[in-house]
Amino acid sequence: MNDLKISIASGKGGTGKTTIAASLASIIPNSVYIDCDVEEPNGHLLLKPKINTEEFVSKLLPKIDPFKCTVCGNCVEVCEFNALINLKFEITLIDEMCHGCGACAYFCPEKAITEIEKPIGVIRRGITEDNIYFIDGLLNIGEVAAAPLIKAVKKKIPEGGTAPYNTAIGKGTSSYKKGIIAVKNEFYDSQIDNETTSYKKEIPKGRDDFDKNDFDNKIFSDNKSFLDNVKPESSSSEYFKTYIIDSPPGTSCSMVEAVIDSDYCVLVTESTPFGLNDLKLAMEVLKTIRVPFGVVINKYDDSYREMEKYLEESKTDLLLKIPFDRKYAVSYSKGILPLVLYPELRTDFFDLYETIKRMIGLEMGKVQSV
Amino acid sequence: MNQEQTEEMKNTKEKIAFTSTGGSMESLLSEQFGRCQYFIIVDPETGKFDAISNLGEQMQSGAGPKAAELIHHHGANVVVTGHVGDKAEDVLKRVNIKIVTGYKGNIKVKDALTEYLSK
Ligand code: SF4
Ligand code: SF4
Repeated sequence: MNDLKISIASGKGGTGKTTIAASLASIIPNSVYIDCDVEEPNGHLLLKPKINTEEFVSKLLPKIDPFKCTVCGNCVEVCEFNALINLKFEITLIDEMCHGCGACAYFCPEKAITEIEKPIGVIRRGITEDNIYFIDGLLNIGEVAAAPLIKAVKKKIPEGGTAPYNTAIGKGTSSYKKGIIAVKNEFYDSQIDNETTSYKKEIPKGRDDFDKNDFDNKIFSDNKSFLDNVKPESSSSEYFKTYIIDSPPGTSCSMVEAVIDSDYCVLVTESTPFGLNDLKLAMEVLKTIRVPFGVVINKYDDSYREMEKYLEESKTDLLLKIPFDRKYAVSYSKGILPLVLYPELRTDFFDLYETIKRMIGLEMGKVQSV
Repeated sequence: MNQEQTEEMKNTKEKIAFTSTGGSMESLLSEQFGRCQYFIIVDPETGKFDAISNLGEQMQSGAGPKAAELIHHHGANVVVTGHVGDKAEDVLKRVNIKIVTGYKGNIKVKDALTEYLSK
């Protein structure tokens, strides 16, 4: 079995998606929790990771040399994101609209456009007390390019069956090891990682009682203890690692970016007509991009029957119902995962995880038999 | 603004762009700048007008600045509408288009023209 990528999405905000995602991550040993809700990443409030690295992510913005530009308008025409405006006497760029695709520079006949980097957000990585690996992205305020940042965050999820942290020791060129080196160097200066076009910078002193030596030890010792638990993929078909991807709410292109390559998507909804309506929209998206999914009804209210009726009619898998309970909300508002305080929820989440694995198994069987 | 532009401003006649829900003077004014269906660009001296359909209506984002670009390229130097977003406002200001906002969508373009000219 390979790694599992499970995304947690929701057609609307406020359904408790992050609580579900963080809870699920918390009961899976050595799982990796990835918060892709970059406009409002809240997972760290519940999982309370110790952040080891912060990387600044940039996008490339075109810069037009007014002396070379003849205002021919080619660049404006090829820009699909409406980021360039032809003022007739010059071309102007609307920074926030630009996705940094580079088309304008490529098509400029005068070679008047060069590309410069502009920071759009930061990727934070760390580990929780319970050994849950933590990655999140935080978008700069006013920045619209959520999808590129999500893409950068997801680049931290290695492709294929290798776990992210064990390659650091085995292969000298892995990006993680480079990461460590870069972070070390930053105590002297900052360095650009060409591969990801991200800078790694010194973490400001004082944050989380940050201590360099402690940090180095932590990473290497974590690697070691982690490696001890890891069997190489080839020697055991049982080994896999689970990634929990917390998607942005809604059905925008950032949601698609977050869930697109997952093995399974858990759609979180609530027992209200609005919940049902947004659930339908999210289901449409997942069907289009062919990601298998099931539904968790949070804040379940058994007087609202339409939800279950709809799921039954549409033959959608209902994975779990979490009854509405004030105490869960109170625990969340204090930044504590409800399952920490209320063990009955733990069993629910173990069951949820088992169900998802079974579902993925079924999906794979389906694919193979076709 | 350079000398040339100032001169150009002095010499050009007023051309007023109205955001509109339809392609004629009888259409109702649109309160939205970037996402209006049409721009009606009027030459008040001759009373002649052009109706230009606005692609911004279907744009996911960035409609405002593109609409500003559109009316600029059609020679407008005044825009009469309900509301203009920040990014569009920046572009309009840079190309010296006067912004007149606060109009409601319950009046016809021709009445908005009369009202504007009477001021
Ligand atoms: S394509 Fe190049 S020369 Fe043409 S308007 Fe754009 S920047 Fe200027
Ligand atoms: S880089 Fe791409 S999105 Fe940005 S201005 Fe150029 S063509 Fe448009």
